[in-house]
Amino acid sequence: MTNVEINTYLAFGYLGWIIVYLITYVSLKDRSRLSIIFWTALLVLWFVHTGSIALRWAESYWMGIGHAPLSNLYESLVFFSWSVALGLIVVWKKFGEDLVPLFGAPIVFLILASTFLIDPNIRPLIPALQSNWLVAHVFTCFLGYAGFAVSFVAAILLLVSRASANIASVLPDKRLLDEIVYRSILIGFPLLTLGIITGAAWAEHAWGSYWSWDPKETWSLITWLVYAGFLHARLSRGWSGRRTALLSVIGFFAVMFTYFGVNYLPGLHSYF
Amino acid sequence: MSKPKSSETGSSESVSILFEIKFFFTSVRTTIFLLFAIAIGAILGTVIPQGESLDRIAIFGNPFLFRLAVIIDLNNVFRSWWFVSLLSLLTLNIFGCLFQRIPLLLKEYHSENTKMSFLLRFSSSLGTSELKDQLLNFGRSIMGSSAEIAESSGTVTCKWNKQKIHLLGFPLIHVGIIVILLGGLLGGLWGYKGHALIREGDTTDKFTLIPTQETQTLPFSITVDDFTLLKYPTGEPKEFRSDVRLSQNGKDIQSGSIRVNHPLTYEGISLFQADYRVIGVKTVKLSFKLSDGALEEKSVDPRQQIDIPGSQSKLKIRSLDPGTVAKGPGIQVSVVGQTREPESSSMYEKDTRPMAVDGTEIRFIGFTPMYATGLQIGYDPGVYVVWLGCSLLVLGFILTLFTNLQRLLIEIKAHEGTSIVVVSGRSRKLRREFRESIELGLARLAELKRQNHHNQ
Repeated sequence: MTNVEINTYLAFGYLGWIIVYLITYVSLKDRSRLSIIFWTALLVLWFVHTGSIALRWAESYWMGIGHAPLSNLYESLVFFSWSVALGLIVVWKKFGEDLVPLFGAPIVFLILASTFLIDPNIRPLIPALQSNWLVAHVFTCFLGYAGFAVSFVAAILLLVSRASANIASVLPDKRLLDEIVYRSILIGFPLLTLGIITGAAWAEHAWGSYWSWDPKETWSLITWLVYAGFLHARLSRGWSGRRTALLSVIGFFAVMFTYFGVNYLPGLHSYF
Repeated sequence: MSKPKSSETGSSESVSILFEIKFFFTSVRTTIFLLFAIAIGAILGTVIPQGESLDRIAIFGNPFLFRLAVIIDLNNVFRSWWFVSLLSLLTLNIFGCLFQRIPLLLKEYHSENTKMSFLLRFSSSLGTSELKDQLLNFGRSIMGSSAEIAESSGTVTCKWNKQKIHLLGFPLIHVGIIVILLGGLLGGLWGYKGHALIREGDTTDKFTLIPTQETQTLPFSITVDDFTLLKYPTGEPKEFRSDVRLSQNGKDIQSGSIRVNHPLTYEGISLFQADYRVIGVKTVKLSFKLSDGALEEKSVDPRQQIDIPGSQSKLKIRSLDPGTVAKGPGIQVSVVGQTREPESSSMYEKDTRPMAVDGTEIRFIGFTPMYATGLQIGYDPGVYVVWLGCSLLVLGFILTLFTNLQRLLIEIKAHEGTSIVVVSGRSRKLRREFRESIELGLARLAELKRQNHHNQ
């Protein structure tokens, strides 16, 4: 089986997990005993996901054009969904909270399913991408994005539970959600910073300029500024709850725009 | 931190203005405002095409909007007066905030800041010296080090500090950002960026500045000996390489190859492989099959007449098509000879039938293009300053994320036949967790009876 086939099954695996868990969630009052099964299932899915990325890496070597599978849109989407799944697992483990993973899993599914629409073939590396900075840059950026995605999910849940007391009664405690919103950004922000720095080092090496205000660079800075604003508002001005949750949502839109939207603006960062 | 009213701050107007200014530069509120203002400015810079004339953009047909756009340099946002001012203000604001907070950090570092985040009181029937041993063990197990012990008038004070280096994280992050911005300023003031298109075999010391297109002279000259373009079997480019020599006053000073991601640097001036252009044909490869069956291959200069083996005639290449038609690359040639009329004909790489001249079969096998390599030339005196700033920033993040300053203070004193134990603690991060671990640990020491607890 090739990695592309595995990814197809995997997307439906995540979807199945979401549907079954959602049904269980709605129909059973006490789901504590089933929780361990879904936890195990999510871990299994994630390990298969890891294996699929490793297999793609190996496949590229078998083709004689070996490189880390982080070099085009397909590979970055697979890695992004892997990072978000990892983020959800960490939240579950750390906070013992399964609703954030349950509502975050559709993001994993959607990202993975969107790879059905694009060319999945392994391509040799074009000269601009032949750099050791590639792996460091993509790795740190997407792990950072995963932190922001987790924060986004918790922020949406927080905003919804603030809007309706009925819904709030079935959602996690608002203080816990607020904590997840903040802690995930606390992890995501330094990773994004590292991602921007490694990107700048790479650009310096490849194009002779560590910063050229190219739209992708600029949007990553905008994202960074929004989250820097978030951290200062929370740590120094004591913002929390609705206002920081809104900032987290705005920040995640900036992340998505940095990733996808920038392609509709003029610029040279056109690999993925 | 609330904004002070000017009437309270000083007797004269000037003092209050100074206070306002000081407040502006030391307030995190200003930081947050500047962060979002810069973000909005940067968004403008990505949605409005930069470096293009404003009258090409439809929305600026309105005269008022057009004038406004001109005043705020909307087609050159990142170098505009207001954007640079915002960045400068941010730098000053970070500096101001740091300046104001560093004394507090120093105090905390030297344990002068005694503000604790929780306080617990216990009583015990044990004597102070027995309790002291137990509590010293407890403290060591939590804090991982021995305590500083002080005794005075029957009160024993045990003090632990852990990972004071954590306090460095915050200033390092912010100093890092200031250093990066200063590095950017250095590069903006004294750096330059340019481009040179050099033909294989040519030497030049001229390049054009980006974006002004002015011609400038380098302190050395660049000779491009060769440009190579390698492709994968699938047709995608694998490598662009320029083999160059740098010389100064007629002497070679450095040589090497420049590839994408592998620049060549001499005295701070870096040369990067940017692009290339095909500007002609270097050699054309032909094969000649003589009437006796002998096969001969020749790489020929397309500008010269070629003797056709086994024939008195000569061949001249008139033009070359690099492959715009389905038959692949091809050449137009004319055959001239004393005994024949000049004739013109076309040959393609994918032709099945060769061209025949006096019994010699001629085939066009391929050609080597003549390249001009596009080198990006960059000089940036600020780049190492920027990397220094990035290192400080990363170090600051590491300290902030992976260390945590914790303090523990245990006071034991005898009071009317019992011992009173007061435990207070402080943690920069994870306060609740730290407090809980202390409470849990103390609860295991059965000799202690919890009296009441305060939160501070």
